[in-house]
Order: sequence, then C-alpha cells, then structure tokens
Amino acid sequence: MTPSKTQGPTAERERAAAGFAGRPDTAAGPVEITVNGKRRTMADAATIGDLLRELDLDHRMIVVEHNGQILRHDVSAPAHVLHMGDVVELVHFVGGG
Amino acid sequence: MVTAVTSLAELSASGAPLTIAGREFRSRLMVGTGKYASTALMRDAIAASGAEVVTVAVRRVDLDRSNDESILAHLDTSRYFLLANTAGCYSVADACRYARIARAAGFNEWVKLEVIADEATLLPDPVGVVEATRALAAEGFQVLAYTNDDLITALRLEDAGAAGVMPLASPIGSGLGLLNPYAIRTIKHRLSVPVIVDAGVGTASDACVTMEQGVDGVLMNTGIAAAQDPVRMATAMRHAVDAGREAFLAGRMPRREVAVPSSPRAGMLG
Repeated sequence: MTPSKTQGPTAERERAAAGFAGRPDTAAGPVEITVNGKRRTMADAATIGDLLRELDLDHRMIVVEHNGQILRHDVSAPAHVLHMGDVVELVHFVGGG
Repeated sequence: MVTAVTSLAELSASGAPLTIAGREFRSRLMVGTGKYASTALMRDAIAASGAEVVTVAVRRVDLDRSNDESILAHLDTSRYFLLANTAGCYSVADACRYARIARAAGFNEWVKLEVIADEATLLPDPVGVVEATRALAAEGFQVLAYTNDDLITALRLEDAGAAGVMPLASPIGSGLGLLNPYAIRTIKHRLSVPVIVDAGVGTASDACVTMEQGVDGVLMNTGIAAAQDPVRMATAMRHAVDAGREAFLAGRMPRREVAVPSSPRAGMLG
C-alpha cells in the first residue's frame, strides 16, 4: 500500500482547496477523494478501476494521474487503491493548436 | 477521402520530405484541431490540408458532460501523427507535467512545448521554454519548442536538445502574418535542427511568404479553423505551403529599384 501523500504543488493546492488539508487517513469506511478538482466519495479500498467504471470511463482513452504520479494506460493503472484525500486527474486529448 | 499526396505532381511539388528527429513527413504543413465549429468540419479541413502532423491539447475530462468526447474519437490516429501541446501552461513544471501526461497516452514521445509568459499576447517565456526543453529532452522527448522570433533563444533551444524550433510568425490566433521575415530567415540560416514557423498565419499568402524564407514547415490552427470556409482555406494553405517551398527552392530573382523591360528594346517600328 502506498501512502496517500500528495505529490507536487498542484496536487497540494487541489487537496487544500478541496478541504483535505490536515485530514488524517482513516483505516476503514468511505474515502473522500478529489477527481478533476471535485470531491467524490468512494467505498473503502476502491481502486482507480472502480472510479473509472463509476464514471463510465473505463473504455475511454484517458490518462490517469494519481497524487501527481502518472499511471501508464495499461493493466496496472486500474489496480491502484484510493485513499482518503487522494487527488486524481483524468485527462484526455482535446482540440488545440 | 483526400489523401495527403494525391498525385506524383504533388509529390514533386512538395519536394524532399520534411525530416524531424529521423522521422519523415510528406507534408510541410502541420495543423491544429482547435476552434472548429464541428468535428466533421475539422475532419474535412484537416484532410483537405494534406497535413500529416496534427496538434492536440491535454485537458481534464469534463465529468459533468456525458458527451464530452476525446478529440481522438474524431481523428484516425493511424493516419495522422499526433503532436500533443502544452498550451495553457505558464510554468516549466506545468509544461513538463502536461508533456509527461501526453506521453503516457502512448502515441509517441513528441511534444509541442509551450511555456507561455503573458495572457494578453500569449508570448512564450524564453527562459522557461529553454529550461523545459532541456528537462524533457533529457527524459527522451522529441521537443518542438514554441518560441519568439529571437535568434538567440532559438540557438539556446537547439543547444538544450530541441528536435525542432517553432518560432512564431506573429502572436497565436492573431492572423497578423509574418511580422519579421528577417528574423525567421536568420533563425533558419543559423540552426541545424528543423525550423517550423508556428502561429500567426492568417491566410494563404502569409503561409507562402513564410515558406519562402526557407523554413522547413508551417503550423497553423486558427488561420484555417476561423476562415469562413475552413475546408477551402485548408486547400489554399496546402497549395500556399507547396508554392512557397517551391519558390524558395527555385531562388527568387534579385529585387531592383529600376524597371527592366521583358521585351526587346531593338526592332521597334520606324
């Protein structure tokens, strides 16, 4: 299990903005996380894969950043377990110049 | 479907392929995918442009919109070479983060690196872009660095490991055309890596004049997307880039301040 420490200034900012600053991890029960800047409650021991399924994004070409760590778009990403206060960014390509 | 090269004549018009970091591209025109009124229009315009390299931006999935689709739903990724940008990034850290996220999508290790310094002009941060180029090149990225039309910054970018340098013609989305042909010529003359002019091209003549400076290619988005008829403008841009390239290779006649008749002086009637 990896500790749910945020990494990098942006993740810290988002964590603070979402009201997680200073909140300790809890051993069990629902976990509150931030997904694309918005708070979300997940079941205990929920994974990135569970989150993607809930959002109906599990078949989409997206990149996941979990607490500042970029997860390669492969089989390992969905297995990552979510912890209280985690910051997740779900990213894709849009039109641009 | 319009193919990038539709005839032998066109192949010869575009001349030798553009080579960046060992990869060959048939077209010297690169296009963006932003600002189109519809994805169908974007698809048709890109096809008409003949471009092989298309740029995309890295953004959050909009979780409140169920129909928020990735641009990839509308682009044939087997046909186009995706060039992710770091548009909207105002720091070295953000630009590097966006580049790494783009690479994790698994298409390639290329990035159109932007480190923007000013919201009003969207002018690049010359110090930041050099720093970010050095960091990303060390991580194995092929960096195409968006920069001002400044020779020294361009030289620094090459030194930092850029695979190509992308000086602006004029500010992003301005359509002001090539403001400093001298600067662009000088950059092309002095750099060893390819020079792709990016931003500011407003119409076909801008693209043509830009290519006439001898640069390796042109990248544009708004010039096509914001035209009244983007598909027709994309066609015009394709011809303009080819024409400008051919004119450069042909070598223009010297400029003279006096007229020289094209018809013989002798043989006039008495």
